[in-house]
Amino acid sequence: MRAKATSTIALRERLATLLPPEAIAPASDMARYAVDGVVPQAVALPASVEQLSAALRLANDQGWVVAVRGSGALMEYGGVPKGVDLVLGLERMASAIDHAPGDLTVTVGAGVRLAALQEALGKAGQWLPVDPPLAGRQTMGGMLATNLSGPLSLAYGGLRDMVIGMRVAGPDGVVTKSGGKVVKNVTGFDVGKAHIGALGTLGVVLEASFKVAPLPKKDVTLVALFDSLAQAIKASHELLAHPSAPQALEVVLMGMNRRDDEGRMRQPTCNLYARLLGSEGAMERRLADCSRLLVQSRAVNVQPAGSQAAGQTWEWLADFGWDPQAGSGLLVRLGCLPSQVGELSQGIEEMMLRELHQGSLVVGPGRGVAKVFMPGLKWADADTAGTAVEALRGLAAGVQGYAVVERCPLPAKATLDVWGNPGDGLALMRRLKEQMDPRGVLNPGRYVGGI
Amino acid sequence: MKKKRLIEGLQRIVGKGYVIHHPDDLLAYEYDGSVDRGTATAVVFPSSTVQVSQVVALAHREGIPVVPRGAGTGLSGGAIAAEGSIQIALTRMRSILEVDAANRLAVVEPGLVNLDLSTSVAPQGLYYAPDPSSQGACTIGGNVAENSGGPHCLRYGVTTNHVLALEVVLEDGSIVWIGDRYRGGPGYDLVGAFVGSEGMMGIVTKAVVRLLPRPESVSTLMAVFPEMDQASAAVSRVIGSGLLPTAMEMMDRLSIKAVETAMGYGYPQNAGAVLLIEVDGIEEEVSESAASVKALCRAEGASEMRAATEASARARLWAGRKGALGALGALAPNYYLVDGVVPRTQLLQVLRRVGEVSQGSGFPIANVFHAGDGNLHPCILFDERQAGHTPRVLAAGGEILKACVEVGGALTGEHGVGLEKKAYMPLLFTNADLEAMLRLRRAFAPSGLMNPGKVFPGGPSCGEGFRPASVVKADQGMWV
Repeated sequence: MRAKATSTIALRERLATLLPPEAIAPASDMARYAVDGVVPQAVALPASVEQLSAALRLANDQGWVVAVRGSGALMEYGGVPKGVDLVLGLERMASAIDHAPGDLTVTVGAGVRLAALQEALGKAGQWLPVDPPLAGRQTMGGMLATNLSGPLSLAYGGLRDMVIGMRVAGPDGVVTKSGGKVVKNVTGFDVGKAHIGALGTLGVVLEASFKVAPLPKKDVTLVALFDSLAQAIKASHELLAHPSAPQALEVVLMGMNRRDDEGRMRQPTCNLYARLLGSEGAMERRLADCSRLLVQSRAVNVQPAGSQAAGQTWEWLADFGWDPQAGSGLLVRLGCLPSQVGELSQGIEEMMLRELHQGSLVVGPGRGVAKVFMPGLKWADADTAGTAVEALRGLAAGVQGYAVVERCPLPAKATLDVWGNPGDGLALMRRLKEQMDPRGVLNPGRYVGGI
Repeated sequence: MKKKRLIEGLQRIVGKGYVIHHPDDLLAYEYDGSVDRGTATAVVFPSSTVQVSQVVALAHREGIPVVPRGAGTGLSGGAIAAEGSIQIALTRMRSILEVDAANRLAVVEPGLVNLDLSTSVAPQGLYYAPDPSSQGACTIGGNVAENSGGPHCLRYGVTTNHVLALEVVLEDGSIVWIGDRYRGGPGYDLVGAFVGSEGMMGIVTKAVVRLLPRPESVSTLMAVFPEMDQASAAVSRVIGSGLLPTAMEMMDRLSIKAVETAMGYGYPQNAGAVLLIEVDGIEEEVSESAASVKALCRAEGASEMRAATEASARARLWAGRKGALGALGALAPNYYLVDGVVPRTQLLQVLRRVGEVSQGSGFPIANVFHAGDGNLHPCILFDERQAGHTPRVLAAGGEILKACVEVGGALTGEHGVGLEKKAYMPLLFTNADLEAMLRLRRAFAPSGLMNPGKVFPGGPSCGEGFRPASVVKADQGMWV
């Protein structure tokens, strides 16, 4: 167990003995680095692995609680920390991108923005086929720590399927690697997998190597309007079972319980978006197949989207609930087997109608995911948020699924278990945490089961 | 605990007929497909998770190591018994417990043979993608332990990409489910951390695996090149063009000669390399990709090309490649197969280095390998009866592994570290790296009784009990 941290001044003074002045954020900046309202005592901004290791080692020796930060875009994800002594910001770390186009691999530092990586890969006609929320802002380290996948994971899998090697600093500052830079490798245990989605509770990811993919020659989106969510989800399964299946498919139920200017309840709209990525020669037939299936499945209207509109739509879908313009609110991700997504999302729809919650629902029927975002400040109230989360967890349990609270306004968030029950493996997860971070300094309390 | 009492305890759990302990009977379980051997105190054949759990708990109470074993086809010694251990053979647990076609997954027992899963779900239009060379014999449990690959993992990934959840018996006999059926639930990726742990973290008793829809169309192309350089360039050209074939397999001059000698397959006498490329998808996509691949191979100097889309014709194209390793028996009584992996752009450089090792050591080396993902399989040909040859062959294998590491590669692409390569681990990993792996292991198996002595350097040397891989007859279809 960690010792009580030293005073703020002492903590900053100790850091200053190890790091140059520019690697320590001024005291006036602390509020900017707050994690869920918890203001750190100091912020280290190392520019090298040596500096980062030194800061970590000191924190570990002193029992200071460390929170790692990339761009800060997804800092809200995870439970409210019990306390933060030191924020470790990776913004100043070296940003090398080592791309080997002929090998379809890339090795990239944790502080590099995903957008910068995609730009570099794009020059060689390649990409990392991921579309997490706020892709334009988040860093590679943040993306690996949060592991929030987007619509493209339907066809391309998750980060775990793309990462081939990783370098990590342990809480004692010792840097270790696993895997490598080759696409097929079983040399040693796959420790890197444990860090993906671990929210920095097991170590600080410094660098990762990925398998990348050739950019598809064609990228076409079909939009179909449906009378009901149930109908759209049924159509989705028809499409997904077909050889011409799209690479991404999301269904949106937008604007529930909203009233028009005259106070009448408006009918929410239900759209299905299908994104077909692939070769030129096959696209004509695939579009025809998908359009036909959609019409047969009672789509009211099916048409291809213009490329600009399609790009904006997929960005909106990926950012759903996280877009700062949407303001604060309750964002919950629910998951279950694809065949049960219809039942799950119908339950969510009924719950929202019954409780008159305004909001929208984005469903990935093939991914087995339903995300609900209910904007507004009413969710800052612990009872209101707690009741809704409990209801959603009940729906998830009904289909042997899960519900994770991705966003919730304070102070309600502090009263919630944002993760829910991780199941049978929790005891092993605790043991893994004890092995990797024996003094419990890395992000304690923010992960599943209070890890 | 006296051996007699131990045997009785095991017999009470699994039944008298399912414990082997007589030295003559144990002989058959001393080996796997690798070069090492070891004798267990007993081999048990449980039929259920509960029996596995009880055997493991008994061993834990008595401080006896346990070693899980599938079909024994492993090539790195992962299933070789540790001194005084109880070997747990999972071959009786071979049922497919559930096929959920709507969600494209299956729940299977660990002893199920890899190919049997694909065969069983074929009527539903599905298959299990990882296809290790021994897929007609090797088990899903063994595949999970080794994170097995196969020729088609270039596009579809290896075992870890296809495992959703696992029921695992931990070293104290406790039974735990890790992972979930849909991926994305909260918590650490324990399944990802477990797959490829070579039986050292627990014993898989059930696996939930992904199934893929069978592609509408498949096209196999065989390109013959006068020189290996041209074939390698063709691999780079195809990848560089933005195509991602499902498989890209290569044979060099010596392996072509072996196949010709053993099978009379009809390759041109002067062929320096044969490249097999497979593409799949919907028909329009496949014909477009196949045409591009053909053009690119011609541009790199292919002297002859054959193509097939119908299953039996495709099988004929694959026959030479699949029979290659067995055919090496026509050239030498024994071979030692090295499983190195390099960035695919370094293939040519490393193949030249392999050629130098062959010249320097005096042993012919044939190359049959997964070119698309840079996974080399140099086969060092020798005769174990010649005094002193075996250690020299091992040394030559070590030289090749060093060459792989020097160009940014790794020690093993798909066969595992096991006993075979543990001494080489320091070439790639620091003590701190290995310590991080051991921490992961300790989270699952703190006592170290679960399949001890593998993967990590130290302990009994890997040369002890060396037995060269037996030569497989060409018609047995063994291939890697």
